[in-house]
Amino acid sequence: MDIKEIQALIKFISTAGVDEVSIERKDFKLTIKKNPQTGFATMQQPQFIQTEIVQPVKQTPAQIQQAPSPEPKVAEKQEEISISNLKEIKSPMIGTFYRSSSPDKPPFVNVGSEINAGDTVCIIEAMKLFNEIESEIKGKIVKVLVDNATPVEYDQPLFLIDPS
Amino acid sequence: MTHSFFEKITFYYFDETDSTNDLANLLLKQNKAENGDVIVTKFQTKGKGQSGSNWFSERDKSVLISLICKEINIDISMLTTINMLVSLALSKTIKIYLQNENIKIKWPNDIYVNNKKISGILIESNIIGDTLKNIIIGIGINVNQDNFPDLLPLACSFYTISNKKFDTNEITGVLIDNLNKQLAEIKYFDLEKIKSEYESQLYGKDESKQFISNGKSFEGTIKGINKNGQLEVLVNNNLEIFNNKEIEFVRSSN
Repeated sequence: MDIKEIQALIKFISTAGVDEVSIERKDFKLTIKKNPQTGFATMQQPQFIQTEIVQPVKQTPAQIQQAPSPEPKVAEKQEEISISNLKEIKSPMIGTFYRSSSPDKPPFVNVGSEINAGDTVCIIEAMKLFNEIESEIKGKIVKVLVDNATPVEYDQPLFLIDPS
Repeated sequence: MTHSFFEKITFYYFDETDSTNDLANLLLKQNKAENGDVIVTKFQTKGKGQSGSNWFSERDKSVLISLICKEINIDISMLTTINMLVSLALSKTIKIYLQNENIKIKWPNDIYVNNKKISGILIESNIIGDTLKNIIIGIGINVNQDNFPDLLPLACSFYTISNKKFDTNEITGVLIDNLNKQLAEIKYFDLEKIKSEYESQLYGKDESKQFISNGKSFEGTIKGINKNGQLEVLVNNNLEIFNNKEIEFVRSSN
């Protein structure tokens, strides 16, 4: 632990509005609380820090294994079967639609992907803010309605989902 | 009275990491992050800048942090406000150390000192429906670099501006303190006040400048931003609205 980091921390808590500040490293944790009832700085065992895990894993195995095969056909077929039940995921804002987190990464979802509520389906970038859009519903992606890296409007449908 | 956005702030120090935002994102997904956690590093091997470009960093010379706002669950209309508040907290922090310099916010959220970029912001969020669930605020500030690669002629650092070296740990603390206080304004929401403060620091405001949009060059004057955070530029007496990908400043060659 660098003494400068601790000094900076003490300086920080003396001016900051918060009551509790901690610093953690692999081997060390220091917590400083302003509230006198909870006492002095406490030392604790390190908890979770592992510098090794730095590769973000944004795809579930199921999504990766999803064959990129005959997209248009699947979409047409699905539409015939259950078009009346399909739900849309719409864009919550004006921005640019991205299907993956960066150009070298696979898309979050493809046609045929099974998704759960809370799964990220795309990114909408607006004013340099990158927003991961999560599905509100469980289901299967039937159609991707917007091309990658193109502008979208507020409320524009992005995906068709078969919730059944 | 001091306003505070976070109840608790925890600094996590890493000697190096791919990108503080990616690590913050991973910890959130693994449910290992809390509201108010700050990822701090001395070196990013794959620091992210805007549109996937790299953020240049030398070991120990920059402030590199990601602040995690977890499960704040606010309406997505607040996103523009958050961008303004973060930009203001950052410009205030830089102003403390470079008091006599010309510090401006280049729309939407770069900080320029004397016409050169000193700091960048990369905000990432998770949205479900109309709700902003989590936000990761990534910030890089150039502090002790004494020079920059030729491909970054418009970059500057605290050192290139002031010829002084600074303690990056101290600046990190001041920055987080300012972010914590500035974000607290979300609770006492006054959009007009925030917007006018942001616009008062807007780079190029009320100055006639050359722009390029859709391959066309034209003269215009930045007037401010609208409620969606889009840039309002007066062109031939018409107020035109631009998204960030649609418009660029033309640099004068001198």
